[in-house]
Amino acid sequence: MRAVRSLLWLAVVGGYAVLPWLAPSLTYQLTIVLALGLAALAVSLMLQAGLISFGHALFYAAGAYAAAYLGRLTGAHVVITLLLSSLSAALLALIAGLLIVRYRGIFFAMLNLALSMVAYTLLLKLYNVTGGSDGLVVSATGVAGYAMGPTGLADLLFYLALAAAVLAAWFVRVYLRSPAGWALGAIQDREIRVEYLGVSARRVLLVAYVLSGGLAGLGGAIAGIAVGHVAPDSAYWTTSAGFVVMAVLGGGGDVFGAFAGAALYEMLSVFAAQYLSSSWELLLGVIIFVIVRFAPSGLWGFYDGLWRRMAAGER
Amino acid sequence: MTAIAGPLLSATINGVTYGATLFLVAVGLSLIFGVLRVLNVAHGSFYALGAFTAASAWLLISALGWPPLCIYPALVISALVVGVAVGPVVERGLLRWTFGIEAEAARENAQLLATYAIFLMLEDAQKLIWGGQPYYSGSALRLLGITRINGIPYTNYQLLLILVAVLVLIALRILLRGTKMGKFVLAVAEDPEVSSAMGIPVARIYTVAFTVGAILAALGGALASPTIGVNTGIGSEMIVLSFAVVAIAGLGQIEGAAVAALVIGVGHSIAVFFFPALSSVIPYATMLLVLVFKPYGLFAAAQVRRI
Repeated sequence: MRAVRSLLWLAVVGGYAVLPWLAPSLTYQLTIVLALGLAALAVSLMLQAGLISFGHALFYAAGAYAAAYLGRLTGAHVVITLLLSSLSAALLALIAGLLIVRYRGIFFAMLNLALSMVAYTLLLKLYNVTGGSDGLVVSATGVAGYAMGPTGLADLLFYLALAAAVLAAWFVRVYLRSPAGWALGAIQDREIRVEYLGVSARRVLLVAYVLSGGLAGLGGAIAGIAVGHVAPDSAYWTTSAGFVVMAVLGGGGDVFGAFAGAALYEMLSVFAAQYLSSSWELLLGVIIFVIVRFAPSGLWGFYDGLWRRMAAGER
Repeated sequence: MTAIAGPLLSATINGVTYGATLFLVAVGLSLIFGVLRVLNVAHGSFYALGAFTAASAWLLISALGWPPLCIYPALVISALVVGVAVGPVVERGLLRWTFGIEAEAARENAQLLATYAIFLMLEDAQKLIWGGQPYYSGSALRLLGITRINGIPYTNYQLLLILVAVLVLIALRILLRGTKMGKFVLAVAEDPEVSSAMGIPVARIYTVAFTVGAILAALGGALASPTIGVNTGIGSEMIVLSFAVVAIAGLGQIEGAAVAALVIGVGHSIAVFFFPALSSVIPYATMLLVLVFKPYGLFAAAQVRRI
């Protein structure tokens, strides 16, 4: 059964990898799904500890703006830009995290919100540095100084994003099964008992927060390069809320849930923008409500339940 | 008047009027949190619905050829209609199930997500009903004439806003401390289980408190509608501003919300005069500073950590 499940994942990733061959016009959308999935993964990592962040757009925007600056400063090639942007977002998360990991529940949500809104207004107002509401152009060249055409770069970016997503998912999975990852889940259940075990809850949360910031930043950098542009809206609170929605849609249970949630969210928004131009938020609101109300474990919970039932049937 | 004191005075007056609207919305949010323990993300939508309804009322009054002064009672009626129509439906129909969730973290998260879903639905409902174009009812602003303070003209309407906010603050205080219903509300805010055991109809108090909170948000929107362009997006902006006020004051604080709204309003206006580029950072930066040093807000007592 385990082998079947692993093979299935291989098939999903392989199938995703050949999609741009079958439908080249979808390459951009498929890259964006991966970028959003990384941000949703970042949010669902904090959800493991029972903490909702209404401010992760801060790190997403930080990654995208870092990519814009790196492209301008060095004309850096895309791999280095992605790595450095993710690192800058992680560094920002380290600084913010020193403060934020002291808070739980609503206060954690609100402090994240406050930080991201400060960043949003600064991005909007410091016109000379950030381009104000016009935002910045994000440019990236190919690998090792080898210039590529726009379609070549789009393809390269897609496969880089896919590789990054698979690596990130694998890493988070390993992390969640490590002692630090178990402690993270235990903080949600009974933080005080975690402390009695001699584990510093704040340190556990800080590690998770920095990892989470780096993941969101990586997503932001990928999206920034794919769009070729970044604007302050990427730091607005509704962007953060979107990530929370993706994480919840997918279900916080496992790393692939975040990507499934991002794919569903993006599919809904593209579909609804085409057919229901003015009421896509209404549809999304209803779907979120139904999931929170009737299926709190999300898509992943549904999928996992299916497998459990099949495994039970085998025995 | 010295060169600094003049602008400072007029910034303060502008700030107080801005703070008055902010207070009305934030005190509703604080009331709902204080009683139901729900951080209502959809609160900004109640504000927006109040503003849109008031703008429509102004169009209706103009179309019917009624005397323009009818707009003032119409603003208040718009707020009441929105609050009474939306509040109970949202609380009874969409939020009641979350109160049964035992684990505190799971309950808070479900409520954040459910109210966010309601926010999304109400945002689109506004677009469907009122379309995408902004509404201006600025002429309602000038009906009451202007007052010159230190040579700078202020519409009397702005000054009236301050009066309304003060009246609401006093009325809330009297209603909460002086009436039986108010004492019920305070008791439920303190401990719903014990209140229920004492025979207080907790479920009904929840609905009443939520509806009053929604009316206050809609009142803020209705009263602000002549001073702004009523457009989609005003709700999502107002919700974060009122979060800031409530976080600074401390969740559930009513008089504190008034002080925090004044601080943000005046701070914002002074920044508009002296560092215009940074004025919109003020509310969030203040919120951040307060949360760092006093995580439960300026006026709330720190909670003992429950094991």
